[in-house]
Order: sequence, then C-alpha cells, then structure tokens
Amino acid sequence: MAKNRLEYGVILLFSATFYLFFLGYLSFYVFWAVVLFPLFSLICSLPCMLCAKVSLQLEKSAVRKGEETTLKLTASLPVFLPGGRVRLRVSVQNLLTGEKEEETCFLTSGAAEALSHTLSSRYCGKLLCRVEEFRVYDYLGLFSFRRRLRSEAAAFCFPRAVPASLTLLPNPAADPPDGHYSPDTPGDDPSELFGIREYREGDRLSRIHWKLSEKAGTLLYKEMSLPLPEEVLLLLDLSGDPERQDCLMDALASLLSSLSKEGRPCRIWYREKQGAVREKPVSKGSLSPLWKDLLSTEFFSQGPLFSGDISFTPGTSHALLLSCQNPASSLGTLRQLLPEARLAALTALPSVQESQESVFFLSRDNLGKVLKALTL
Amino acid sequence: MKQKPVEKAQGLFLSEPALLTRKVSFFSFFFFYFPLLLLGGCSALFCFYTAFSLPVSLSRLFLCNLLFSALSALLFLQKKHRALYTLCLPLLLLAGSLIFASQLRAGLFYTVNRVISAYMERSGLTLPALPLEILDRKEILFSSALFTFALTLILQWALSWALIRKNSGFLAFAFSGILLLVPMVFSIEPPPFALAMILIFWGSLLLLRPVLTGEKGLIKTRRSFHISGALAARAAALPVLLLVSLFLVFASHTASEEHYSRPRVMDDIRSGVFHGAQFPVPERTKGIGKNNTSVDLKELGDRNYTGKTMLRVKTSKPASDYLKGFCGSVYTGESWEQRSEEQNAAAKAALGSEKAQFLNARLLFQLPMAEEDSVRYSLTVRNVGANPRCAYLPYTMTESGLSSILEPVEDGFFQTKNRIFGESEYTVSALWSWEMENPFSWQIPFHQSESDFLSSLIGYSKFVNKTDTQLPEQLKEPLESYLSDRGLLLSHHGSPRQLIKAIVEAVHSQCTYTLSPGVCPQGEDFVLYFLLTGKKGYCVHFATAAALLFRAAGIPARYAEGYVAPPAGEEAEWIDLPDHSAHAWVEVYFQNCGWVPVEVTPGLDFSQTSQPPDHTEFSPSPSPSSPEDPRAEDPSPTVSPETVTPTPESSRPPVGGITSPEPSQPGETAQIAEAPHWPLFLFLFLFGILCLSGLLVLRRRRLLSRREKAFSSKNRNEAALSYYARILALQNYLPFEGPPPLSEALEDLARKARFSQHTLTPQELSLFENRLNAHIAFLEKTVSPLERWCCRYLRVLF
Repeated sequence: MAKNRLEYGVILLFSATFYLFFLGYLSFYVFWAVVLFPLFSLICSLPCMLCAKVSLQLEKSAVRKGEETTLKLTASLPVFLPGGRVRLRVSVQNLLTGEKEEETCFLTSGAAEALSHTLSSRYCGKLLCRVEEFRVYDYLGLFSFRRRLRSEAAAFCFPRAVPASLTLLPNPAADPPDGHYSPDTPGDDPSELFGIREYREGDRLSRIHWKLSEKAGTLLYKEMSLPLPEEVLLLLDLSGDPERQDCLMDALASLLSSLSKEGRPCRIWYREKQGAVREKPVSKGSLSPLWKDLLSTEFFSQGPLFSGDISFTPGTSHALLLSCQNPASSLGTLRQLLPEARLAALTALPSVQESQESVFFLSRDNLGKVLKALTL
Repeated sequence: MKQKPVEKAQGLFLSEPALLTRKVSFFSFFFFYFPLLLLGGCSALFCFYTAFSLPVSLSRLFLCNLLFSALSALLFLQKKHRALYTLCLPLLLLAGSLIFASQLRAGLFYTVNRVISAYMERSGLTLPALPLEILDRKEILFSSALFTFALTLILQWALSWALIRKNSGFLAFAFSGILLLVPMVFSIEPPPFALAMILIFWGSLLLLRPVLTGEKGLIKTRRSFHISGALAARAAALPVLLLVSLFLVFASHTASEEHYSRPRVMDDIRSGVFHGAQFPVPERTKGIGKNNTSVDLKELGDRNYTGKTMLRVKTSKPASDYLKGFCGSVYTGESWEQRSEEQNAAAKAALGSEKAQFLNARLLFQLPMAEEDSVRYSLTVRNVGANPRCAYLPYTMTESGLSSILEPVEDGFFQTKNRIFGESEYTVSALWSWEMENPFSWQIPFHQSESDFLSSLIGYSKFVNKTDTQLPEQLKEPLESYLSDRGLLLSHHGSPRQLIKAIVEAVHSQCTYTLSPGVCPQGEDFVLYFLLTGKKGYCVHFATAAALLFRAAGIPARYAEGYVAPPAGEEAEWIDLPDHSAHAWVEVYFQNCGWVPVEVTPGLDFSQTSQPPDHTEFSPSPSPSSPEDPRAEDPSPTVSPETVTPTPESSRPPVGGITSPEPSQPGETAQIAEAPHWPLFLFLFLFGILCLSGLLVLRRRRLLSRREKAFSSKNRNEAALSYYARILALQNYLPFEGPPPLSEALEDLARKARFSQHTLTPQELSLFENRLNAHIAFLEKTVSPLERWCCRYLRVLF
C-alpha cells in the first residue's frame, strides 16, 4: 500500500505541477479530478470490498502422519464489478504440538484463480487452518480495512498404534472401590448382592432366598454381582517437544487399542494448559471422540504436573504415567497421591536409556518392543 | 503440478501455493481488452489530430482504430507462437512502408510540418520545417491517410503490448500520453471531447489496476505471494468506463469553468519559479527597512551591519531620494502598526477614487512645469537582499502601470502583489526638478475640472488631521508637557515648518545618536524611555519620538522607513544600497503638498552629500565638530527654515555621487547579494535525490524479482545454477571471510546441473538455497550499516 500511495503522490505532484504552470481551466480540472479520484475509487470499490468472500477448504478431515492433504484458498466476489486486491494471511497450526506456519498472499477478488497448498504433518494433532487476516483494498490500493472473517478448516492427524500388551499384576493392597461391580450385569461374586428376582428353572437352589420367599409366597432368587476387572489410570504429561509428545501419543494409542481389545476399562487423566484437570473414562465404543479431544488439547507445561489440589478416583489399583520429562519426581508425588496403586512410567527422552524399575524409556525405535513387554 | 514442499526442521509441512486457474474463455478476454484498446487509441489520436487540425476525418480514424485494436487484441491474446503473432503487425507495417515509402514519408513530413507551424504560430518562434515537395490536395489527403494508418497501427500495437503482454497500465498511459503531450507542450489544447475520452481511458486504467497490473502468474517475494489479477479481466468489468465518465461529469459540476478563477497564490508561485524565487526568510523580513506589516520597537536593540547589499537602484534623479517601504500610522507603545479597518475605510471613503500614494504626483501635475519631460525621471529597483514583498518607491511616483505587480496598502505605501515571492525588480516613473524640491513653494492652480480631486483632497486632509494627530492616552500629557517645557508650541513659532524644525533641534540637543542604545526595558514606553531616560538611539528612535512630538503639537505625522537612494551619477548606473542604507524618518502632511519626508536623525543631511546615509561612520558624539565627520561643517539639522524636505532649496552643487559598482566607503567591500536561487536549487537537489532513491528502490525490486524467478524456475538445474552464480558473487564480495568456500559436494552438484542431463532433486537444490541463505545471513550480520546499504541498493547482493 505504501508503494501505491507513493505512486499516487507522484501523480498528484505532476498534476499540481501541471496546474501550476498551465494557465487554462483544463489544468485545474485535471488537478481537481486527481484530488477527488481516490474518494471516487473508494466509493466504487466499497461493494466489492464488503462483498468479497474467502473460502478455505481441506480435502480430508482425517489423515495419518505424513499423509498429504490439499488446502484450497479462494477469494470470490458475488458482484459483477471487478474486484480489488485482497491480502490474506493464512495460518496452519498443530494444536497439540503448537507448531504454526503462516503465509501471506495477495489476490484479486473475483479472479478465476485459487491457491492450493499441500499440507502434511509428521506429528499427530489437530491441524487447524485459519484465515488470520483478511484485508481488502480499494481499486487504487490506497485504502484498506480488515474484514472479520471466520473461515477455518481442520483435519485430525491421528497417532500410529503398534501392537502392545499391558500386563497388570494383582494388587491386593487396593480395595475395590464401591461400584467396582457391574451395575447392570449380574455375575457370580457371592460377596455382593446384585438383586432379587423370581426363581427360574435352572437356577441354583442354594441361592434361593428362603426367608423372603416365605414371606412373599413365591420363590425368590438371589442374583450376585459381576465384579469388573481392574481399571487402569493413564496419566498424561505431554509438556515437551513435539517429537516426544508424538512418541507418547503413539504409545497411548497403542495402549488404548490393546486395552480396548481386552475389554479392560481405563481412564485418562491430564491437565490442560490453563491448569484444569480432566479425567475421562475411555468408553467401549469408538475412541474417535476421545482422540479428537486429546489432539485438540494444549497440555499443561508450567511447572510440576501434580501441583495444587489433586485427587483421583479412590481405589485406583494401577496407574501408568506417560511423561515427556524425567518422571522421577512425578512418580514420587504420585506415590503419595495413590499410595495403594501400582505405578509405572513411560517416558520419551532424547536418548534411550536402560529401563529401570517401573520406568520405561521410549523412543521411536523401541516403541513396539517396550509396549509389548509392559508390566504394571 | 507437483508442489515443492517447504522443508523445515519441524513437523508441519505447508507447501508453497500453486495456482489453480479456472478456464476463462478467449472471448471473455477479448471483449475486455478490445474496448479498452479502442478507447485508448481513439482518444490519443483524436487529441493529436484535432489539436493540429490535420486533414483526417474522425470517422476514418475511428475505423482504423477499430480494425487495429481488434487485430492487436486477437494476436496478442494467442497463447501459442506468441513471438510470431507479436511481430505480425510490425511486419505488416514494414511491408506497407516498403510499398508506399514515398507516400508515407510525405504524410509524415506533412504532419510534422503542420505540428511545427502550429508551434510557430503559438510561440512566435521560427522553427525549421522538413523538406516537402509540393503536393496537390489529393496527394496530401492520401499521404496523410496512409500515415494515419501507420500511426494507428503502431499505437495499437504498443497499447496491446503494454496491456496484454506486459500487464502494465503505466506503459499504456505513457504511449497514449505521448500523443497528447505533443500539442500540450505548446499549450495547444485539443477539443473537450477528445480530452474527456483520454481522461476516461486513464481513469479506467487506474480503476482496473488490480486486473491490469502485476506480473502474470504466481510471484513469490520475500514475505508473501502475489497473484496477478489478469484472470479477472472480463467484459463485465467494463462498466468502470461508465463510472469514470460519470465521475468526470461530477468533477466538472463541482468545479465548473464559469465560476473558476485562478487563485492568486498559484500565479505568485509560478512567477516566483520563473523569475527566481525570493523566499521571505527571516533575515530578509526583520530589521530596519524590511518590515511591511508592522515595526516592533521592543525588539530593537543594538545595530550591527554587515555591508551586504540590500537593493540596487538605477536612477536619473540628481538628488537623494527617499524610497519608502513602510509607514506606520498607529503607535501602540511597543510598535508601529497599520491603520485599523475602520480608519482604512474612512480614508478610502475620503479619497474616493484617488490614491494617497500618488497624491504628491497629482499635485505636482497641476504645476505648469510638470508637462516638461525633463521633470520626469525613472527609477529601477532591484531587490537583492531586502524583504521581497516590500516595494521601495519615491514620494512623487506617478501611476505608471505597475498595477500588475504592486498594490497599495492603505493610504501609506505599496507592496508587491506576489504574496509568496515578492518581486525582484520593478521600474517606476516619478517627477522631480530643482524647482519642485520645496513642496511649500508649489503654487497649485486647481482647475474647475479638478473639482473632484479637490474635494477628495480636502476630505482626506480632514481625515488625516483628525487621525494622524492622535496619541495614546498615556502619552498625551508627558509629550505635551515636554513640548510646553521647551516652548515648542505653534504659538511660539511662526509656522508649522518652523515648529517642526524647533522640535527636531530640541530632540537633537537632548538625545545622542548611537548604534548601541540597548533594549527598552519591559513595561516602559518606547518613546518616553528614549526622550526622558535613555536619551540615545538611532534613526528609529528619533523618527518615532519626532513623529509623536509632531502629533502632540498638532501636526499630522507618521513613521516611515525604507532606503535612501543617493543622487544619480553622470551616467545612470546601478548603485548598491547596503544594509546600513536602511533608514527611518518621519513624514508629515500638508494639504498643498501631501505627505512629505522629514529627516529627524542628527548628522544626516541628504542635501549636502551625494552619498547614502552611512550610519556606521557617524560619531556618536553630539558635537558637530568631530574631525572624522566631513559633514560636521554644517551642524544645523537637515530641516531648513524654508523647507521640510531633506534637500534644501535651489542652487545645489553639481552632483557627483557614487556610481556602482564601487563600494560606497573607502576600504569597504561591497558584497553583492544576487537574488538567491538557492531555494530552487535546494528543491531541485532534494527532488533529484528523491528520484534517485526511487530509481534505486525500483531497480532493486526488479533485480530481486528476476532473481526469485530464476530461483523458482521449473527447471531445477537452471535454478541451481542461478543459486550457484549468486553464491559466487557473495563469496567474491567477502573472499576471506564468511562461510568456507563451496564444498566439493556443492561444486559437483553445480557441475551436474550444468552438464548432466539428469535433473537435480529438490533436496539437492535446497542445499544451494541453504548455502545462499547462510551467506546472506553472514553478510547482514557482519558488514557495517553503510556497507549493508550499499550491498542492498547499489550492488543488490541481497
């Protein structure tokens, strides 16, 4: 715009010089027209400036790591007049890792053109493409203003799961919490009564509630509860560089996939950037909503993970910390918070180290190997 | 097209944008460019042919343009065999030139000769014409038509090349502007319809800038990507032509020709540029003789003179001449001001159609001797260092046709009409003879036909007697008691002239002349301080005090300042008036002679000397018998008993006088200050710097964009070689510093790019890019700011 203004200044200077040295009315008319022309140009361009639209489209909404997708950018004009220049600043951000790329383009709105980019990501995360700035110019390029525009497109880049196997060792120290029995399915655990029903043929006679049956005048059967298997708590500390975050997300994906196959319940615990704590059960159905949440999250990275008033669901028997940092201090804090649970940590550090007791070191190269032999 | 990914050391990859274009039909482009070309060609040619009244009909011109604009658009819009199509029309022209060579030459010469004759008619110059054999009318028409044909073809080819191929609105403007410039150079205006057409064309070029300008395709700059709007060129965009037409109509309504009058300031600037601008800088507008709005008495302090020439005068008057530049009518205690609006109006009403500035000449014209040529003299004043707005003019100036450059101010003095630059030189005519020297000897016989003048004179006299005898309230009593204490009353003296002389003598006896009187203290009245306390000063002090004392005595008086020109020499040559010639005096009013100057500064006698007043040499001692002062023989003040002018009566010694260019005092070097043209030179210099900077910037952008184009070439080998060349250029700049020389690997790659038929991979190409960036980063960090500037703008290394 500075260049356009300079050019206009030169035109104005020449017209003023013409007016100065040429005595006739023509010189004044030309000078006057040059003075008024920017205003006229602004008025003529206003419809186009106000009506110009930008659209941002991503070819795919879900991609694998390294897979390319196309991002298309178009500036269109619904009116028949020629459009002025527009400036677009487009940004693409991986919300998980925080990486951001920006690009500025100058187009003419209404032209039969579109811009196409190829987008891919080495790391998992939510790839959010947004038009950060949309500035429209008049025909002469002297005036401009920003238009508010909500145009964004997103694609999820999911982590890669490898075969994993998590062996949970029994933990007698942890009491099964209340409700550790299935609330809707009866079982055979005699320690907990599920419910009373009428006797059906084939039921065990030892489970007939004789006292109630006598009172009720009919045979009533005691149903026992079905004990649920032990739940795993997965704690996420993803405050690190994108490489480590990605490695741990792959590990998490692998673990969730494995646990889901085994039908083991688990919960995920993590802390968001602002400090809010989230603890989510992993449902039996599709993990997709959970992953969309996780991949869109900016994780806490300001200080120790377990600072402040932290509490967990009582009766947690097994907990696995996935951490980008050295987990020694976190594990220590966790032992105080979950004294009865069996704890272990998966950590992704730049250099591979020998696994120590309850701390497993991950890297891209040994991910599969470590996850296959994971014991908690 | 496979897009090159931007490899960076992180996980997110966003490639450079690729341009996807929707197919736009050929006719959409054609019907966009064709009307524009038609309008541009027609308007330019109409302007040219109608301005010079050439014998070509406009309809034929239009048809030619129609044909060639369509043809050019068709040819230039072809995507294949572009070079061939580009050369089609030039080849056609060449063929036509060979076949009709003599007729084309005749048509060209005839047209040029018509242009030259129009120039001669307009300017009065004699210009050479091209040799043309005598042709009859039919041959002239045929040759002109052929030449028109060729000119139209050339113009349309140029416009098409500019708009379609080069995408440059500026070039189209330039090509069309040339044909308008040819007549306008000599202010030959084409008719309004042609001008309107070309303005519509230029306006459309401006409004269609987003479509018409910019290189086609996708251009990558350092920070952004630019995509030209060429694909927005469609016929639906052409309503802008109508919009521009409406705008021009609107503009003409808001500033119509009927109500237009050229502002004065534009003429002043124009005159200043042509005649040499004299800017009214402070050193030229402050000081004695340089004021033309008021005189600030409080700022007066000690005087220092440099001897620099302020005015150059050429006169034929053999006596000294008071050249008044300003007179003050209202004394405020701290300054002399001009009259108030009401007083001004009253003076105008009293004078009627007369001008007080010409009163003396009008009165003199009543004398029989005024008809003789010998009483007229001319005075030329060249302002070289004084206030350019001031007009230094004699008292007996006639109305000699200077109304175009001078304007009267109130009833007192003149100033230049050019409010910005003033006037550097003017010549006036005035009346003088030895018999006229004593205004009180003028016996004015008023004729009956002069009754209007007489009534104006009487009315004005009444006004002056009432207004120019007024004093501030706080001064009335002290001044009246000053006069009465010294017996300076009209009743004690025979006539006002004698009273004036007595007052002047009294002031001379009480106060001494010095150039270092100091500043009047705050809170003190200037005159009272001078008369009663300080008792020393120079011409301004004496003139101010005397004017007020005259007023207190009932004599109308005003403060005046300007320069005193010495008598003319035997040959009328230029006389330099240095800064110490600036002077202040009093002018008093008498009905039979108008305003006349009275010299009140002690020791100055313009009657006895032929030299201008030299304040620097005057001894501050009140004693007249100072041996250094050659004028000390006559201690009496210059106001003689019989006269009130500085030149006493009749027999005068033959005048000698100083003639320029000799210095006025021995041992003193006259410093001639020519009309300063430095403001103009400064402006031109700055303008030149600006243009040069602009050119440097444009050149740099051009080179960088070409380089970027080479780096992003589709052929990676070519791109690699461009990188390689640039790296070598940077290495040569800092051969012993910077990153180490190119590794063998890069050299090998360069050789591969140059000689091998295999194409480099993107990774290999990126090695060159990284190396170049490393070099540039090093240079930017290492070199000094000046060197960095040179690298950027002069050598365009990065």
